[in-house]
Amino acid sequence: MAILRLTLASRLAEIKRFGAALAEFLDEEGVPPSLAHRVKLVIEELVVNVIQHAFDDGREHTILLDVRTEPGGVAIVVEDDGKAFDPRRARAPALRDLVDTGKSGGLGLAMIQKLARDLSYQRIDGRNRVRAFVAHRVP
Amino acid sequence: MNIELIVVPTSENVSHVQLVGRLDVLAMKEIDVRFHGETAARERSAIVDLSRLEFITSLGIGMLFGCAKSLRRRGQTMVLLGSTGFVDTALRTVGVHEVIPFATTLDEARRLARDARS
Repeated sequence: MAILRLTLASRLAEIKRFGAALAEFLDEEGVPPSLAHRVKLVIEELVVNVIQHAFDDGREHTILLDVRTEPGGVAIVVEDDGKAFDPRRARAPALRDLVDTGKSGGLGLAMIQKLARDLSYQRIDGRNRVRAFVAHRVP
Repeated sequence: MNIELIVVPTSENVSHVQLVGRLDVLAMKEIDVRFHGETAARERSAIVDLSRLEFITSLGIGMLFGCAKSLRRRGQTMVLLGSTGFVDTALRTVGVHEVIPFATTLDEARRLARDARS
């Protein structure tokens, strides 16, 4: 079992930095491409969602990302001190409505719910803690 | 560069573009305006070749939806061509194939684009 821990600033430019570190980690750990792609997507959707929606005070915040390889898949933990938000409660949008409006609201969370299993959420001491497990076997 | 938008010359009355690379949040912000300019703004059906796209996120899919909406309002359509591997999996995971036509060959894409106008 190997662990990657990253501290990210709450700005979109961080996506490139953590994307490179994550790709290197998954490659070094021999994570197969199909699983690595799903892990990258789940993490990017979680982190972008935090950056875009968790904060409304105009200040830069810190997001903690913890990725660990486990038997059967990869476990992901994302922590932030933004507004309380439980991603399990998000409802998948009606796709027809999204095409009619030309928007993608809720689609990222729908992707997370489809690609990850054991999605859990805790609110501890004013912090959001989301855990997801992406399995070798496609859900 | 994460993403590249290639305009494919065509004699047909459709737009044809190819997306190459990663369509994540940063890439989407980089090419969104140009993508709409080369597809929806032309007011004719568009073939979007995804065969060389390696990665796509929900915001990238949102960009496709925005284009599809604009074209649909004008009685035109967008056809997604040649998605493979992870990109195809990601699109089908959330059901994009249920609302935007997919094609595996250029001939099929052209036919679907033509059918939308007839």
